[in-house]
Amino acid sequence: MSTRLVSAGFLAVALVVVAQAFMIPDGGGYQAVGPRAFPLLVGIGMAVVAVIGVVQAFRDPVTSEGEDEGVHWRPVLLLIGTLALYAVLLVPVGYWQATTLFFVAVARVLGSRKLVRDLVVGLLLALATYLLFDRVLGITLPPGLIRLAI
Amino acid sequence: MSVLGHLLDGFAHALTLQNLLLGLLGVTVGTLVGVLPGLGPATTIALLLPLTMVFDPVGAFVMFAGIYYGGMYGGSTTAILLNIPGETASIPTTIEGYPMARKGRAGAALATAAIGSFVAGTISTVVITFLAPGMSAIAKSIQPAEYFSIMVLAFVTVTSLMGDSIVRGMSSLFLGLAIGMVGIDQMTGQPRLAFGVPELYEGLPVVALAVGLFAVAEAVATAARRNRQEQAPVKVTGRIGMTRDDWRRSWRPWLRGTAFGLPIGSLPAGGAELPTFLSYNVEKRLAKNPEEFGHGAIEGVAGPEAANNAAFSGVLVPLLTLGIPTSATASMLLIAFQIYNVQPGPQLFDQQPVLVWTLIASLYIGNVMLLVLNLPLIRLWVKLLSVPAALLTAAILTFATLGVYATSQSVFEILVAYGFGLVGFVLRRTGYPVAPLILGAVLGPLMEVQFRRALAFSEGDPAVFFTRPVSLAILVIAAACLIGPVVLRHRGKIRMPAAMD
Repeated sequence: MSTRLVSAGFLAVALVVVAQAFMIPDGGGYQAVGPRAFPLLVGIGMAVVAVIGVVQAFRDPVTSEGEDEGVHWRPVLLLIGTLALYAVLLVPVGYWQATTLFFVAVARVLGSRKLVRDLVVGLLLALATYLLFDRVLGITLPPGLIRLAI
Repeated sequence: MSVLGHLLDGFAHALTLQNLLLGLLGVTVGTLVGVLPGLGPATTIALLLPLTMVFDPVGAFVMFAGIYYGGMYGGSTTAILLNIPGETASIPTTIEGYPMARKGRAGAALATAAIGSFVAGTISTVVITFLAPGMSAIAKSIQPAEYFSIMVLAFVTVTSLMGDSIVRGMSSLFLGLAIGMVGIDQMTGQPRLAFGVPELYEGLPVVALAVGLFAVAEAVATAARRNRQEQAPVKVTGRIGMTRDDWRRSWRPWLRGTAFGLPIGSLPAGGAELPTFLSYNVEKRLAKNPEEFGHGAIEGVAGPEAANNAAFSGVLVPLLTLGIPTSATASMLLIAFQIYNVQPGPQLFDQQPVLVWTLIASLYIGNVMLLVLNLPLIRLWVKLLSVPAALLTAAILTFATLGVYATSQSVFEILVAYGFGLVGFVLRRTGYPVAPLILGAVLGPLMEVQFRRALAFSEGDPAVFFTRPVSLAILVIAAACLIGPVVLRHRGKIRMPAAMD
């Protein structure tokens, strides 16, 4: 993955922080220091460090951790999709129902081909955590469409 | 009340049946999660944070003490049997422990790690018991300007010690500070860096941030290296325990490791990395047969494991008395305190004596529990290592999501956690350390408070940080810690070609 891209990303964030800091109205005159000073300090500090980072990255791009193995983007993208879907479906579908499906999907994205086993493990895990949190510990989780009799 | 009186009081609270069970539960789940490859103590605490939410603060912190130690023990098991360090401080353990395991000496390596951690943990806890109240008294007299400078020092040392590039460490730190500022300013009610998003007015949720950066990022990393052959753990054969010779070779490294870990950990600057590596190098230098190092020298496991554990206990001193976390794990503990609306710092020992002393008492108990539990159960923990990565990752993501949702009842926070999971993954792949980020996000808001207080006293004169002698001295040390390594590396680079001639 490109160190250059990430270092540029840091610089972009730094500039946003500085720009945002300038937009913070700095309160009345009665305060010695208002809400703007610290964000400004942090933003400028970050920008300085980020510039050095960009220069370093372009002068001598370092391949870091795990140089020998490239990133397999396909499973990563599939995982992101699964996560997004889970977050969206969690409340309407219900905790244990959505979690069972999520478990199976993640296992599959990560290369598991034992559908039945994943389904059983996922269902047991989802039901156990649901009952523990919702019924025993008193932390409400979305019940969803199919309600449990217990 | 005297220290001993407070401590006995703490034991009285910790030794109730409910708290003992919570401690036992903490130690067990802590080890269970800590054993899983890639999950260090910080991730372990992040994942288990919501579980403690349902208990009263005292009970929750008893459980935390258990999780804290359990996560560490679990981590050394993974380091020895799988050659996977859960965190930087475990790297020396992998260097010597894994070769030991491959030679069929896994039992001895695991035992010296466990017993050494117990020895170091217990000695450190005794010292903390008597040191912390005194430190707390000193901390009370610290003025805002000095407080701010101490935080700068903590940031600088932690950042320059982690990862190989100070620039990347600092970038990560500043990103954390910026994240910490998101939301409504506590003093003026002014929204900052919220971009008009109402969900952001309360700030970026730190629990979601931590769960994302540690747990979700780990899961994404697993997905990214799919298809790579899964590594099987080394089989544990023979007795778990040490021979007379192992004991003879281990006890001095344990004590020396403790002597490195405890003082460095107790400074508001330390962390666990430096003492662990120091211990490793010293043991290598002192060893009768240094050529054994790298091929499974038991001293190289005993010393660093003790140093690691002592430093982890020592880290509690700045955390409890100053409110300054100096490692990712300590940041997680600070988040836990904040969930209960408890702010560690100079006032903690006065305002929350029961909580603090019960926590300290549980450290003693947790240590004993681990020793009793861990050695006999080690074969059971090892079985966990054979769970397929796909199921493990699915379970980690399930618990991560559950944790964030249970603490917030908010889908938005789940998305925040997932988002930072991706950020954490990208940062790790490109060599940016994550610990300074979480440190900045957690400590940044407290730092700003001191910054503004100091400037209020000086009526807005920013010279206050440099004109007060103590503050100036601390800042000079910080600057030296920042510039020192850069200069040394630079000179090293220049010398290298000369040496090649």
